[in-house]
Amino acid sequence: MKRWEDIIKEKLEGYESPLPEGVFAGMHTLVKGAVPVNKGIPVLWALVAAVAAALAIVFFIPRAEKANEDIQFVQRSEEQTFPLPESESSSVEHITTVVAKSNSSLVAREVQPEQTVVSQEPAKEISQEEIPNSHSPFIPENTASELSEIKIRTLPVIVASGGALATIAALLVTERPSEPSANGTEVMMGEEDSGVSGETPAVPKDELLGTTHGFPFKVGVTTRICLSDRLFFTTGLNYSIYKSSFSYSLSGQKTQHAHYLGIPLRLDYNLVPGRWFDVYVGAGVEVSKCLYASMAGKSIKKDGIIMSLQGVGGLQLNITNRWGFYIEPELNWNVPSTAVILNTYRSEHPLEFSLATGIRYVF
Amino acid sequence: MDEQALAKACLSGDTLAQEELYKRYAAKVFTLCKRYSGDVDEAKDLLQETFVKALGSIQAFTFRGEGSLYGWICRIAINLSLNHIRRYSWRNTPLDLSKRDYLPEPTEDEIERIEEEKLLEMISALPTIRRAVFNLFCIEGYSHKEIGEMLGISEKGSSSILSKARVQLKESIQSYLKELEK
Repeated sequence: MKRWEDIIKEKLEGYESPLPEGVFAGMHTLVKGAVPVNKGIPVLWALVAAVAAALAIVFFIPRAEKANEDIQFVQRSEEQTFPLPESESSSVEHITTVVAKSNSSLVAREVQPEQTVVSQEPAKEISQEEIPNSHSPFIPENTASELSEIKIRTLPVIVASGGALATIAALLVTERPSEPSANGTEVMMGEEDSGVSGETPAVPKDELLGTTHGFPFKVGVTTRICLSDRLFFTTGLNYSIYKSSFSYSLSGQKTQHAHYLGIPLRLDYNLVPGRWFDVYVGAGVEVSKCLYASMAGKSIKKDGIIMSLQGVGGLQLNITNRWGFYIEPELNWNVPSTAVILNTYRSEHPLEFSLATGIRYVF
Repeated sequence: MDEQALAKACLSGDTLAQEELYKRYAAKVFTLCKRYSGDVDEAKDLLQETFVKALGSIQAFTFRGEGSLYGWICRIAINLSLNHIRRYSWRNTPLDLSKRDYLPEPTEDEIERIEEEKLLEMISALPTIRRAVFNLFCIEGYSHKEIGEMLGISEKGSSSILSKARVQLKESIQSYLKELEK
């Protein structure tokens, strides 16, 4: 009795599939060596190179302050008027007129609808070095070239593709100011007046005015174990940093850094497997532990073990058959826990969006 | 034109002979490529690569009787496909969870009801390694030892993979037949 595989073999033996169009023309050209095989890869690489070049132009071109042609400069007179600091001048309308001078010290004079004379101190020549840019709304003509700031944003660019991806990640780093936290701490300066004597003056409280949390960013080394053609188990180590700025009324700005190490345990499904790129989605959990936390450079009490549910959509660049570079936008839901004691982006946003990148080894 | 003359003409760079070679064998080779590839685009690429390589190394062909040229071209196609599988397989080596074979084997009548293109589609739908082992063992007639050497796996591994390929193919056939009955 014939085996069913042999029946299939006999059925297919004499069969001829209909040929796709244009194959012979392409093959004929290849035989002549005229045109190399185009599998669409150069298009992708051209796109990556174009994106990297465009981002490099945006972030690496130096920028210089332009001198305003309408600005003229006058010599300081006996009446010395001081321009208002930027924060206070936002609501005041200024009519600014200055007369340009070719040499000597130049000072900008703001002419307000009602002239405000701040002090009667005798006129004093101010040298070019003393003119602070933060208080002057414009830069004197002859010092524009010297004082112009060249802003160069630098980003760690190791390789062209890694640099483009890292730049894309940096674009997503936006600080989200939040309202003053309900858990904001108040630092007491000195002792508080208990009200017994009634004579001791009240000690001002160092109140928390505002909190700004930086966008979390993760870097990791992960590994992927094949369960089937498209299904993988992913695990590894992820390092993430949560940066937060706290503004206090008295002590000013303080920055908190919290460093976490996490282990993801996830199932990934390859939506688009390819030789050079894999596009995948995944879901799982991540267990994180705060390794170190500091506030204004001083070590503080840190979070315990945190568990979060994770959903990702990722892109992996296959450098070799085993190694790849990945970038993964992630959505994490942090399981409520008493282990979370720090005020970070994570505690403010239990459902947090983050960006992870790193290298991966594929088994 | 017999195969020996055809091969000589191709060797001399005769474009018409190359066209004749393609017209004679492309459809059959494409069927083989479809069996070894995961999809039509991959099969198209494999077909193109096969003929380019065949015409590029036609001087290495030794005529051994009628049918040997076709067999030689098929061998090139299989080797190219196996090269890709070898590169691919150790990148994605599945754990291959075992499955019980409880399905009855399809009968000759049942297989006759399935079109050839559908059968090719079912074989293409197998995971890469299973597809390769099924083709090499059941269609090409290689032993598990030879398959192991070709794919860089053990003889026992080849046997295990083949049994899983059979189970999966039987499932595909049974579900297709149920659809036909509806």
